[in-house]
Amino acid sequence: MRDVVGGLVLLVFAVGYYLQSTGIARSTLNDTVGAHGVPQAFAICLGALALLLLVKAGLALVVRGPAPDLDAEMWIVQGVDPGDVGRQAADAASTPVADEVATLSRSILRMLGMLGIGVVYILLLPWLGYALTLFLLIGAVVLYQGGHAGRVLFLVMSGAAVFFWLIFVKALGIPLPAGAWTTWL
Amino acid sequence: METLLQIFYLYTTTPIVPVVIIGVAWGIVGGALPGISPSITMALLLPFTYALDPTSAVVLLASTYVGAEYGGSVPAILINTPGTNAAAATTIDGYAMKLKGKASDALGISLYSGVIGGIIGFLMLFLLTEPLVRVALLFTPPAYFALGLLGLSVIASLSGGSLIKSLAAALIGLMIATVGTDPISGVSRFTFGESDLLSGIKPILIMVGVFAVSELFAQSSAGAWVKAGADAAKVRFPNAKLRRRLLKPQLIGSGIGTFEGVMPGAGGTVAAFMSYNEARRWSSNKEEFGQGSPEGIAAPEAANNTVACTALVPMLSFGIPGSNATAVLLGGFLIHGLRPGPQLFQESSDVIFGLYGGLAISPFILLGLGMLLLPLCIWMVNRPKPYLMAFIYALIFSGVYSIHQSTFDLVIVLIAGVGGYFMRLFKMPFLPLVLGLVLGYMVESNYRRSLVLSGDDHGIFLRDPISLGFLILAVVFVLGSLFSPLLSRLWSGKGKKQES
Repeated sequence: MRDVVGGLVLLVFAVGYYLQSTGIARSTLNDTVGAHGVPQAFAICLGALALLLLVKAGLALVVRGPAPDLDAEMWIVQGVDPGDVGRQAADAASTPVADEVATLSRSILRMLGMLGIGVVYILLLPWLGYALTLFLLIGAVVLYQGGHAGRVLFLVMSGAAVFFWLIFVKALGIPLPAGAWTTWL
Repeated sequence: METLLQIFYLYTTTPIVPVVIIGVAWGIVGGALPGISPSITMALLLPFTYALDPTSAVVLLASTYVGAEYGGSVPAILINTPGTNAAAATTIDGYAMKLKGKASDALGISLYSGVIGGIIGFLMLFLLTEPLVRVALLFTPPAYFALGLLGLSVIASLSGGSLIKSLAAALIGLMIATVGTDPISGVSRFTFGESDLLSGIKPILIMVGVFAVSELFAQSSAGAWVKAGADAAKVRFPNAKLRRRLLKPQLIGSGIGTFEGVMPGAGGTVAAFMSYNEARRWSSNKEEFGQGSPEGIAAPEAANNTVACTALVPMLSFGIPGSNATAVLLGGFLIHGLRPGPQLFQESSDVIFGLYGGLAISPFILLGLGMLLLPLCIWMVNRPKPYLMAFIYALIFSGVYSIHQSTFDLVIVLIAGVGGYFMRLFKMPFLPLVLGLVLGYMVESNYRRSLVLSGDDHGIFLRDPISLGFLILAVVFVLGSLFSPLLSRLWSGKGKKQES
């Protein structure tokens, strides 16, 4: 099932990329291949591979039915304990497809949460400045990952903000944003 | 002799030694964290290399690779969780020794074998690279184009799993490489009016996103790491008798590591498992394997530390990285405007000598730091995972922003991280993507340049003997990977018939 979705995503990407490549400007300096030639060839190849993947996955579905992957969790996390591989495979083999979908959905939601924290960091960086945003980033990630709020966390957030600021701004001399709020002072 | 003198001169006039110390230390600590592979450890350092001179930058990354290959064995032995993929083979006997109360001995064997592997790997790198560079000096634009295709085909066929997905990943990398200004006509492509995209998407951003950010995303739904006991916080070196016993598996590991390192795509993981099997095959204590055999640790550790050096052979000679870690190292070269290949040996020989110099001393520095940093590694592994993840996220954002002081770069890194996450989801390997990305310019520009030279005659790729050779090899690799499952099935079917 995953390959069907993957094949569709690749196909959409290939089509979108191809359409975008048709808009590449023609130049008098162009060779016969042109600036658009190679990208279009790549898009066609990717489209063909996506179709192949879809056909292969479709045939597998027809022949075997929608079976859950044996390594439902392993695919996503590197550094899997190989001693547990057999056990995980045995567990996963008895896992219904619905459970696998639920596990995947949970994983994707967790990922989106981490992504959201990153996006907020980027948005706040110019306004709050490096040290303050980093302070919030550390706290947000720790709490999101199940850490406990409290004095220890506050101390770690403060220490990390100072530590990173000292390394990047003072030691490496990188001009990281001080924050728009500093102009109001 | 001249090379050796040049290397000694660099030791005294450049900061290579402290850079190697920092790199190996960072590699050991990073490699010891479960899930943080050598390539991720190196990718986290990439932004910092901007501030360094080219030689120091490259030496820092290469010595990090050496340190990380050993670091990966620490959690493999102590908590049965390999810090790196290549250390997975070490868990089998390493953890078994730990359960018998011999964790310190296992760590000592791992470190000692890693050092032996590192020394042999460096000698092989030194001996093999220059002859290949002399061959590469004969390359023409068609040969470079064909070489790029060969690199892609080899990786696609060796990266395991599905050939279709590997090829698709390589194509996505090639597509990303087309963003920016066209190499021949100068028109802009896929820039969407963004001036930040005119110079293309920097490979470093994609590498940090795909390797490091996607790992963080994946870890966010994974369970907590197992804690390591503080009782094993020391390394005990093997005595003379045991050292003699370990020599054979170490030589087996280093031999296989040399071969696998030079072969693009195979890498330390394959070398480690092959070495383990071969060491068992040739051992007079076969029954001990799996029960805590010292040879079962020595062979894979020697192998993956040899690979850390020999994987640089195809990268330095032809500019083709054969593994994720060497792809990141290639990124380090590109950051400083250096493109590995024969020209680099002529134009920037100081960087090559510096790299040789760094790798020559890194096994010895590994020996010292491996013992010193063990308590720190155990302390790090035992930190609450949320705090470690927060620090890694902060390090990524700080490092990436430092490159160009651009929030646009942060956006690219996050997008690449999401892309990497979904590539894991669809079981697409990263290496072909990175290869496509770093080889894309070489493939396209040499393809079009060849056609301009030949008056649009594609026959130029078949008339150039080197190009023809590479193209034939590329076809052999792709067809080989297509038919190898069929052949192995036929072979096993035949074997079963004979058995019955």
